[in-house]
Amino acid sequence: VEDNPNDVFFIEKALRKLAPQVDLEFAADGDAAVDFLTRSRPSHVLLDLKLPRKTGLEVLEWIRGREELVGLPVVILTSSNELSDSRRSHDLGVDSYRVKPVSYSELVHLLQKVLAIWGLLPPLDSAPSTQASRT
Amino acid sequence: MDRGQTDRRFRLLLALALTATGYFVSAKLGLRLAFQHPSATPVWPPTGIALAALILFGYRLWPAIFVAAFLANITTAGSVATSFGIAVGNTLEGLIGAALAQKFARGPRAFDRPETIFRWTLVAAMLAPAVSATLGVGALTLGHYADASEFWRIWRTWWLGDAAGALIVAPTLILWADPTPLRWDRRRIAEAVSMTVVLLATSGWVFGVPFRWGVRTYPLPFALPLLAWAGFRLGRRGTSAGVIVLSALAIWGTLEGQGSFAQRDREESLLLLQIFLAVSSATALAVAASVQERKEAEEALALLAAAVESSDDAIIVLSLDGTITRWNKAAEHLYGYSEEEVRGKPVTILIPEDLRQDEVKNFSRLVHGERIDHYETRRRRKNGTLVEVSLTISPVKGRDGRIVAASKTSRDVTERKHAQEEIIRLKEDLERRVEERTARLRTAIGELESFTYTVAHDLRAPLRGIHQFCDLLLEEKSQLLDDEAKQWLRNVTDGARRMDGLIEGLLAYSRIGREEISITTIDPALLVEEILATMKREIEERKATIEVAPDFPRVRGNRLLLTQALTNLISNAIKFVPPGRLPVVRISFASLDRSVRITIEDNGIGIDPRHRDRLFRIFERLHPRDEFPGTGIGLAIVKKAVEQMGGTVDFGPADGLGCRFFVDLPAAEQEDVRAPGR
Repeated sequence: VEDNPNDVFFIEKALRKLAPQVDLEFAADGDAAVDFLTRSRPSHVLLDLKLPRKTGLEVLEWIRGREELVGLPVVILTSSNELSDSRRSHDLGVDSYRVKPVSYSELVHLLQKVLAIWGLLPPLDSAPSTQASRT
Repeated sequence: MDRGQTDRRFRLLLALALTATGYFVSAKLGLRLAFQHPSATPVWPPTGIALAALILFGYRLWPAIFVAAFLANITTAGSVATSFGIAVGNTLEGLIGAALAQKFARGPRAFDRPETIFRWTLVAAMLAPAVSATLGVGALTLGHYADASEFWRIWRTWWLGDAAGALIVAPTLILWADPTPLRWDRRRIAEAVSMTVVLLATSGWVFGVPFRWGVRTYPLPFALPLLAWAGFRLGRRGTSAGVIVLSALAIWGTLEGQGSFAQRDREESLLLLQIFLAVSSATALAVAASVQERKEAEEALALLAAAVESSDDAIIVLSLDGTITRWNKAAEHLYGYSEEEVRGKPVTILIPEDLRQDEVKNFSRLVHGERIDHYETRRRRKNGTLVEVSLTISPVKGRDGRIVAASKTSRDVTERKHAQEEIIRLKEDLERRVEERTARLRTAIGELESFTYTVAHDLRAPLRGIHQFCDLLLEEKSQLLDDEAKQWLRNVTDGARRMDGLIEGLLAYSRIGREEISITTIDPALLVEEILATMKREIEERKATIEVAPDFPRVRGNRLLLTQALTNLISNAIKFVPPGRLPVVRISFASLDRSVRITIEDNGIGIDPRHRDRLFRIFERLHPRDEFPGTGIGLAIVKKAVEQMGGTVDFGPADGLGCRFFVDLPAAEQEDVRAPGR
């Protein structure tokens, strides 16, 4: 679920490269996501938080309240590094909470790890560390 | 010897000389009137001189009296021994009389009150002369200058003469020694002059002196009204002077054989005269003293009444049944009623109906002797308006100590009340405005932070696009690009990454204010261990040595904020080291008063203290980016995070190279310390 066309483009590109066998469906806002999930049950969900109409957290909450979707694996992929967002997401039971990286190679690396968590790819080594800065 | 001392000595000598001379001269004059025995005279002013001198100038004048008495006697009759005995008696008489007068009759103030005048009569005029008479006559008898059978007769003359001196001469000297000026007005002087004329005329009539006219045997008591006149009108000093003049004239007349006392032998006449004069003197002085006393009391009362009348406070006197009996000007002014209007009326006319019950209570307290101070209430004026007053109600006691009335002092406090109300109103207003502003400020800060968040957040999406499209161009279309184009694209991605770093820093900075923090007890040693674990790669890359002191006292703070702050500080310590030097970082602690200081010391390039102000500001950089990379947010975050936990951060130079950063946080032992979290 992703509203930014650029992000859709790069995520799709990276996923097709990493796992060509995967079927992809894109929803551009929260309502579209809910519509889609009412009609069908995907095996995994990659969910942005900052979405038009229903937010990602609302969609997630909706998913968790729906019997048909019990046990649906969800990974959050967002640009928000807010503690409150990640906390809330974890409370609602996500497999992973990931912040969107700036470069394409990092994105590929990140999605590789997500697919590994879901068991769609073999596991990888650890991620790069955070950078601190000074004046 | 200084001047003051010389002065005092001179004055003492003068007093001694004057006393001795006065004593000697008056003694010789008195002895000339001794008829029965040359040493025992019915007129003996020296006793008065001795008493006055000893009371006014002190007992140290006794040698003057002794010497003068000795000389006066040795030059009159008797031997050295008898004169010595008499002188001892006279000196003792003076000393005993003066001491008793000081003790029982208020000394020099003996003639201010009738009561002390009678005490004076008893101790100075009756008791002390007995000493002189006994010793004097005893000495004469023992020295065979007087016959033992004559002892009591001579003793009586001696005693009476001394007593008269003590009652006539001493009061005059003591009263006139008072330096207060007489302050007689013209009428008083005219009165004194006319009294002197009448005195002389009466004297001429009664004693035939200073001039003789009329019948010779009118009785002396005709002089009594004159003394009464003096006593009532001329004060104590005028009275004593009148007594002296009358005495002199009477003695003179009696010696001339005139007047009602000029009978039998002259000694007998003089004795009777002396008794009469002594009694008259004491009586006249007592009259003068009581007049004086009453005058003073009246003046004091008038003064008090004037003070009450002119007081700014309204003063009301109430009888015990609550009736107004007195009412001063201020009360008239405050309540609008004149004294005539309210006298005899119940005080309740001033009290609003709803407060009458309080008045009853106050009055019952008052009747039990209690005083009510500054009782604030309301009163009704004549024109019906209310006035805020502060009341003091006190019982007025009679001479016997019983409560006879109540005095009520009231002060108009309307203005003060209004001022107080105004102060309270202004204070509330101010508090309300401060609250409003604080709330507005808080909203503004909140808005600013969410604005920062939104802007920063939304900036990241296009940035990712820029970066990632460049990535794609370099990766998938590299065959279309020459080397220069590839380099330019890499410059674009570098810029985009730097900008992302800035945005992330900005978000991190604003997050500190936005997110709620919980304050817990933290073991900084464990935290540092965790931080160093996450920084492992960075530390290894730069070949840095990190030394951590063994035990840290626990602090109060927020885990995430402290992690962020210490991470940034340690990272800086490793980063800002000149090329070719291996970073060495020391992390230590110190327990301060109520806080714990965490010190991070490096061996880096150091910081010029001049940059103190800029150092912790957001986006400030002290070095060009190509020397030391960074966004200029790290220390701003450190400061904000530490302050959010109720701590402070500072820096200073290290002992050797580099610098030290200090983070002071509340110590965990202090239960009451709370960081201002949101």
